[in-house]
Amino acid sequence: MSEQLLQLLFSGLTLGSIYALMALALVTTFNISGVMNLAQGEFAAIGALLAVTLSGAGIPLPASFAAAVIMVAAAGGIMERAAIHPARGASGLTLILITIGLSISLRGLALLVWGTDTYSLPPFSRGGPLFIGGAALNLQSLWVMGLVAAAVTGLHFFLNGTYTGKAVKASVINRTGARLVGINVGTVSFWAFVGSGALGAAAGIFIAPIAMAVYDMGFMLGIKGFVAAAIGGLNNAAGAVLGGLLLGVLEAYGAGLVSSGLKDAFAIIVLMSILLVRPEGILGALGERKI
Amino acid sequence: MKPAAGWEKTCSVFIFRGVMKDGYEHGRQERGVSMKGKGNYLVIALVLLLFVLPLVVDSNYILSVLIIMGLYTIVVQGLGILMGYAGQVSLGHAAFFGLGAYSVAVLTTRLSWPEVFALLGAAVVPGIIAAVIGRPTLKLRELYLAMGTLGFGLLVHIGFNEAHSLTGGPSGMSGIPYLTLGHLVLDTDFKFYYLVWAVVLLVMLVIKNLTASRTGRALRAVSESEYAAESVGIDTAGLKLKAMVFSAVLAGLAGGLYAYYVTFVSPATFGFHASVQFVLMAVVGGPGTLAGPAAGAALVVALGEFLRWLIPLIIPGAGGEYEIIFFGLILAVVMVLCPRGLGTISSYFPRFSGEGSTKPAGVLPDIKDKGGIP
Amino acid sequence: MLQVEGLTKYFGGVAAVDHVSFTVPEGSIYALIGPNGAGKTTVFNLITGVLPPDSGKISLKDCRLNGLNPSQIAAAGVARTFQNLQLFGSMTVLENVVTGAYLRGSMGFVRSMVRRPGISPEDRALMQYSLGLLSEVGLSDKAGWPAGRLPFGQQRLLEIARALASCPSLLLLDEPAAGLNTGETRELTGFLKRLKEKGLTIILVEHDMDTVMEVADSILVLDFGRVIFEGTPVEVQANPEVIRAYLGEEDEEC
Repeated sequence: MSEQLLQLLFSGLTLGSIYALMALALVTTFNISGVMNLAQGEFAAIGALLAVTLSGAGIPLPASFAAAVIMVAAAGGIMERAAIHPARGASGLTLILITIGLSISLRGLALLVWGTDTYSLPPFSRGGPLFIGGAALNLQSLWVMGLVAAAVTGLHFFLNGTYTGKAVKASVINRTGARLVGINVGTVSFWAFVGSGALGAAAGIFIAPIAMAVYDMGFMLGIKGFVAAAIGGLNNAAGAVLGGLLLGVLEAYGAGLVSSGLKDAFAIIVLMSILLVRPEGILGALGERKI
Repeated sequence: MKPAAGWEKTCSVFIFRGVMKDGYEHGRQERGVSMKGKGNYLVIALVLLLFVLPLVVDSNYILSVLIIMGLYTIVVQGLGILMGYAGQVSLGHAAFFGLGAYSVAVLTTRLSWPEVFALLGAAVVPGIIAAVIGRPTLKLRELYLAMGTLGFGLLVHIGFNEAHSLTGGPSGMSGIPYLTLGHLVLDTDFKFYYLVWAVVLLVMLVIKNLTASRTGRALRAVSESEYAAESVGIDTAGLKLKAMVFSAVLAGLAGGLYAYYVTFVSPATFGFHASVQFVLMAVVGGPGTLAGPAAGAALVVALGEFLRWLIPLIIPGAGGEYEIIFFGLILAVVMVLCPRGLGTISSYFPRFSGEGSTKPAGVLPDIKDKGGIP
Repeated sequence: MLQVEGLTKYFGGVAAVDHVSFTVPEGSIYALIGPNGAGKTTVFNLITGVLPPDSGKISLKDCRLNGLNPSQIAAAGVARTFQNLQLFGSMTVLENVVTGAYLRGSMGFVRSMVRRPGISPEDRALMQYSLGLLSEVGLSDKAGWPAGRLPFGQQRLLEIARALASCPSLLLLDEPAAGLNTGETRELTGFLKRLKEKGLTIILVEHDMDTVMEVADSILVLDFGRVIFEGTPVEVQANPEVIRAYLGEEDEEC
């Protein structure tokens, strides 16, 4: 029994890591540009599918991964310039509907190119799973968790250790003030989308060896990223990551112990409870900083 | 508590004071709108056209498209009240549409209710559910409200898929009987067309009454300034809830009719995509007007059919993927270019919504304006 | 008429309103004055239920107001205007006032829908009544204008007309003279006096001292959320503490 619980914990943490990455990207763009990007999940789907196609064309795995990440990052940037930038200053709802429209189009595009088939990528490192306390932990899971750690560290270093990062933080705290000291808030928003495109694609690629890549995997990923971000209160990165892990574990236990068909329902019930009971997030108090 | 007696007297003095024209005519003249203008002829012409169309058009395809337009118009009329008047958004309205359809399916096939009562159930069940979820949900604002309603929609959709014993799961329910009114069995598109459009016109009449009334003004007041609305005695929370229940009842009614029309329901029809489609219809037509939702529903349905016809001609062998891509792009483009809706489109339609339509309140009121305490 | 006892409100540990007590006699004009940030508008928001008080008691005649929500307080006979205008900008001037008379109407959600088409008799009466109010404030010729297109001064007058439309027993005016020119201010003063003659009780927050001194029967001076003085205009002008706390700043403000 305890082995099963531990096993569920491992798969929950793996899944949760992906939600954490989604939430991290969502929270960062939301605080920088005021857009809750519901197309975030599509970045993951298209990143994974692109990597499948590129590696299938004979390009070595690392190169095809890098190419997929760069292409999706570019798509994120194009999206910001084409659809978000022209609508800046519109209400949050307008912006959300724009990203919903784009996510639907991207999903349609993925359906057009890749169809309804599921694809897989080979694991990044060879070797059987580690056995801890009788439960198996895939090496790929470690890669996924490593990506979360790398993303969090990278973001932290960027925001606190570089001049540009400090400028980004400034523009989150006070847009007008940032503009006054010469920071271009529009440019910051552009790079936030580029960054979240890259992060989303990487997340999709890292999870593809464990969960299959399919054209419509992005929608629920995006929603769950939002749930994770909402657990953290929508305004702090640490909360978003913890929220993602929490959601993943909760979902794994729910699916494993109650019913797998209701897997998605658990996340939404969590979302509704948070919205109705504590809209500022459960972990809101944990992080003082805005991003 | 009664106001001071002396002041009460003064209040009534105002009424008889000074020379004044009839208040209603006054407002009309000032705005240069006339009830007996060309607009009314256009309405009569449109209604006549709707009546004659099935008699001259001998195509079940066109009739079925028109029926779907009518059903969606009913849903979007209700959504328009919620968005354009009460200033709230719902990204989960397909859930109410679906609850209506499943109510009819379950009540007729599993419980053998008479068809008309089942249709009543299709309106009542979503209404009750809206009343239950509405109060906590409508406390949310902007992003949170959008995500809350989106979550509700997904949850109901999962329910349709998972409650196998009741809903038949992903494969849906078939064998829904035709709607029978007295001795009239609505078993052809021709008959069903008249029923649907009669309901549409009735709904529009009721909404025209609603918006040109005390309640309609109160709804618009809520969407413009909740503080001011409260200060004149409007129970904003209660009113928003009523608007939510009303729009859920309309969506459920349309869903019930849909179930009788296609005699088959499955979860796929009532997912997130459908909710977004309803919002798109409301936005395109411009909620806050009477003709807007009808125009929006007609436009989006017609566009979908047009693309389905056009795309295979341009790109041989193309499937439904292109439709999805275009649908998403259209939504994005509309929101980028006209975030307040293609209100201009509805201004080409007659303004017969009486006092209710000075200007669309805007699809998505900028809630930032209401953020602080005045 | 209105009794406020020990009213207190904290904003993040700072007392914005600190044990404020006062009584407004029926049929009088009562003014709240004090430097910016003294808590005047907060007192209004507490009386009208926009903010819940942390402690204290507010009662209108025998009816206890705290604990009620703003619309219930409006129904109890308290109407208000807003410092930063909260007009229904896309409605016409007339519709704003008719909406102000919401409490005088009776048609609910269902009765609004299920009725004979056209303008209901109730609405017609309310419109006539509202036009009467508009002519009182000199806006009847603009009844059909979108309210948002009125000049600023007239928007203030319209807010007063909207507040009066519910036939309140107590009217709270938050800086009604702000942004008005001299002529408009004089009209406003006359109008307030006429309302008082008709028996309406008014509480006024105002920075324009001339207006306050002319219309107010008594004045409450607030500073940092506390009452520092209460008295007639003459007494207030003579009080050294008030002069130090408030009037001393006047030349900076104007």
